[in-house]
Amino acid sequence: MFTMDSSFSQVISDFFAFAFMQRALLAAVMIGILCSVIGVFVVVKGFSFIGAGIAHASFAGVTLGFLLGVNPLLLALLFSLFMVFFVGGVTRRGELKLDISIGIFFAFAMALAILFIGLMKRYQAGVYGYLFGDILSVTPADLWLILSIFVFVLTVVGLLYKELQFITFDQEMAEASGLPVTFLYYLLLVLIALTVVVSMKAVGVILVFALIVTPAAAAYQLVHRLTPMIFISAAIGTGGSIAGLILSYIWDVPSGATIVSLLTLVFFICLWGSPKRRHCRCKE
Amino acid sequence: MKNSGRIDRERDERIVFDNVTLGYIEKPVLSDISLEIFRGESIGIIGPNGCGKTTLLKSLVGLIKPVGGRITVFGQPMMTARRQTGYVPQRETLDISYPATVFDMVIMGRYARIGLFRRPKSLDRKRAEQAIADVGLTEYLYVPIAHLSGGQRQRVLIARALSADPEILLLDEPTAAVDVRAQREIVALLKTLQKERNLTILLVTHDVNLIYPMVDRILYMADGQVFIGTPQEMLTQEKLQLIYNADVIVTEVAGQLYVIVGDVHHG
Repeated sequence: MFTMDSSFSQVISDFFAFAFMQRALLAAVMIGILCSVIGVFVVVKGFSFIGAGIAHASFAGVTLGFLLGVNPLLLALLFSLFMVFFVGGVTRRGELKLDISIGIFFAFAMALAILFIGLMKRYQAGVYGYLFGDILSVTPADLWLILSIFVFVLTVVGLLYKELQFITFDQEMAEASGLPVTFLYYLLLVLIALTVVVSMKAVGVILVFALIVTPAAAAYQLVHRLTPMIFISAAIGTGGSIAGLILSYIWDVPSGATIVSLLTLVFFICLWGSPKRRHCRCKE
Repeated sequence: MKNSGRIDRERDERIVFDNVTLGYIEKPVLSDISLEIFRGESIGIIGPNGCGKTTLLKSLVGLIKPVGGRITVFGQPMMTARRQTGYVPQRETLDISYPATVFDMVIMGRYARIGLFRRPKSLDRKRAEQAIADVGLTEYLYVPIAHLSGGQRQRVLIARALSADPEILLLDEPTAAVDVRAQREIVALLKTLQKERNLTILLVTHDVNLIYPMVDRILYMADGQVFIGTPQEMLTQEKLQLIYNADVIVTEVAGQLYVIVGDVHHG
């Protein structure tokens, strides 16, 4: 697709000439911002593993959707919400440790997904689109769904920012001060589930959580306050998504994997240049 | 000995534990305890590990709900009154890896007062800044919490509790794992705060010598029971030997009692 004699500007103009590329770009921007903003709360709360569990639960929903001929995203949402309330419930009640309950549900969800794929009468290419991601196949309907979830999640985060900050910092003290911690805890898990489900088609089940965790983890290396961390994470997530999409077009390689590889590279650069690391070295 | 040290003062408002059982019904941590604490008092809480000191404090902010009995705070049910209560947890619970400055952390103490969906106003910022000033950390306002020393982190925890303008301050081992100088500074700070803000203070500690000069009464907890009295009543060799299950010497230096616990060799 990209030849040595074609100029970069020519490639870019070609890139924007296709409607599917424009949709992919819009999806990448919205998903990049959404994942990296919610990712900040995931990283500071230590919810990385629960997010990976949600992604796999969603995939079980997707496969059941294909098997039954029902909207896969709807079932992905139902499965991920079930996972959120099941894992969140048993963990909060102290019946099981978080890593054990997720570990069990994570594997169970994947087992269900494999079973549902095995029960399908014919090959369903769409299932693998959700597994590995296919941002170029984003339809106008998908874009509207991404936009609505994007607006909803960011509005909730904006309205309840200080409460989400408090429960991710010190849940017990937030409860002692009188905040409705149970509601906020589940709300945060639901926001993570919505983000995972809506981003799954673009980058795939396996990579979606990298898009959530990596920009936030990179931003965490650079700053000591939550608000700048959110803005830097959003900038890294958006920039990485756009650049990854363009590079995948130029090199003709899978977009989701390119985006995640680029974000991982940014993470290591941030880790290397982190003022926090320098502070630790100084203390030693 | 139970409740023997009630201070004889005319006070209408009290924190009352009325036959309260905390923990599990089958295995209570504290059983059927009754206790009165008066506004403006400072109470030192001592007892062996696992006796329920932290449980008692947490019950006053609704983190642990009684399985029996009733807690009232200044005439109100505990859950209604908990916003008048500032809780300072053990310092180890503080996540110093969290991206927050001293100011960010202290203003969180006001979030419940501000209410859902509302942003902090200039009054909230002023209250947080005042609380930080009260604990002597004004110059650290925008310093990340990860960069503070142990004693400074303890002060930030106290400032967060103060920022909500509480009438009651609960402190769980505020002098644990900090150096001697920081311990003395924290006790001096608490004395000043109590005087300036007329706070009712409940303070869990293992160091009787440190808190003895600042408390009105000492609450001893063991085997699910509570015993309360003035320091003079509680800090006797006989009672302390029962409390610590060890040899104890109580001695007086410059008008102040000192307790020495351990394998004491008499004579």
